[in-house]
Amino acid sequence: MTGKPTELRLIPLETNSAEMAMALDEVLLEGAAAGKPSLRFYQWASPTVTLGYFQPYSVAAGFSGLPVVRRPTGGDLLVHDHELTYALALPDSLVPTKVEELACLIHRVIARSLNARGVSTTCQPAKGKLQIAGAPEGVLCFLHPAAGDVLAGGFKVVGSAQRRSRGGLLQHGSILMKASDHARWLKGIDEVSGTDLDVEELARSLGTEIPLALSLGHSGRPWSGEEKKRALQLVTERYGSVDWNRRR
Amino acid sequence: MNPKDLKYAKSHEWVRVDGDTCVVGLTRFAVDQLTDITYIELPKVGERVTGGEGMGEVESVKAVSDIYAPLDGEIAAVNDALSMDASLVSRDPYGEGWLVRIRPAKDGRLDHLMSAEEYTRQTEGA
Repeated sequence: MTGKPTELRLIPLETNSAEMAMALDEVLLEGAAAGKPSLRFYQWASPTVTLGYFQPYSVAAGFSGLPVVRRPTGGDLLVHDHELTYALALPDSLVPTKVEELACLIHRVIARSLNARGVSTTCQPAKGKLQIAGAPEGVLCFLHPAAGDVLAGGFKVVGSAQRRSRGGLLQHGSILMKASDHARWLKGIDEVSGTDLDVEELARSLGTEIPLALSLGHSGRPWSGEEKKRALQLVTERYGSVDWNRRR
Repeated sequence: MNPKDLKYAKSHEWVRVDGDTCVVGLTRFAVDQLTDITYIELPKVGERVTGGEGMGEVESVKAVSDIYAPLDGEIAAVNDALSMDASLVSRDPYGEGWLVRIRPAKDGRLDHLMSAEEYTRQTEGA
């Protein structure tokens, strides 16, 4: 593909298992490396732990009973339960030179969207650590806000991680809607703001606001048969395999 | 400032010929883009690498990126200090933060690599 893409493909909100979620995000990255920018939103079929790419499997020991999947992206452990997750994949021609600029840009869009729905948010000015009584030290991503992460009521409610490959970048991130029984130290947007946000409506709104912030048009297009086949292959070879998930 | 005695790959690795091996590291431009480097994974000694293909990975501020081999060859040494302190790469990319030594393949070529001036022009246009 030649020239800079002008349109972002938008994949409608769906619910995925953890291994399929990671596989589809990687399919998105492969598409971006081939010149096709895409954005998708998803929710999780069941509560799941994901590990950062470099984290040892042992950090998930405190979350027995939950499936554990290793992400292709960096960062710390996440417990995914009542959240809206986005995945954005861009070809190099659309990626800012500094890796963290894209995270800050998307977080600002999400923060504005939440503010418009009555949620008072702030953006974390610099890397920090939240002191929450009883929370496990050192492994939970949502206890360690990075510069640009979105906070509400003293809790981190939006965070993202990235994978760069030749030709493209994947950025996916969690919008923590409600607290999970599996990570009771953390609060979601609804608890800290007294709201009861409609996840589908928020996803639709962000599906317009994110392309706009990137100066791109957008059009909806579901997964192709080839993409679904590739995702199933990635589930088998990687995200559903013990070798991958316990590799460190 | 990119040292003039080094060669540079488009994918932001530097190469210094030192006897029968080449020392390889990440350029200052690359580490500045990555910012805080927290983890680095490098190939093992004896492993064969192919120029332009991935040979390792680095994590910085929640972003995982590939590190590419700038030439064909075999890994002759790995900078073990980085397993204890990956931030050495950010602090001293052309010195203590070197990554690996590659013994070039017999027909291994270096003429695809850029001079400091050429590399500086590439990064100024980025």
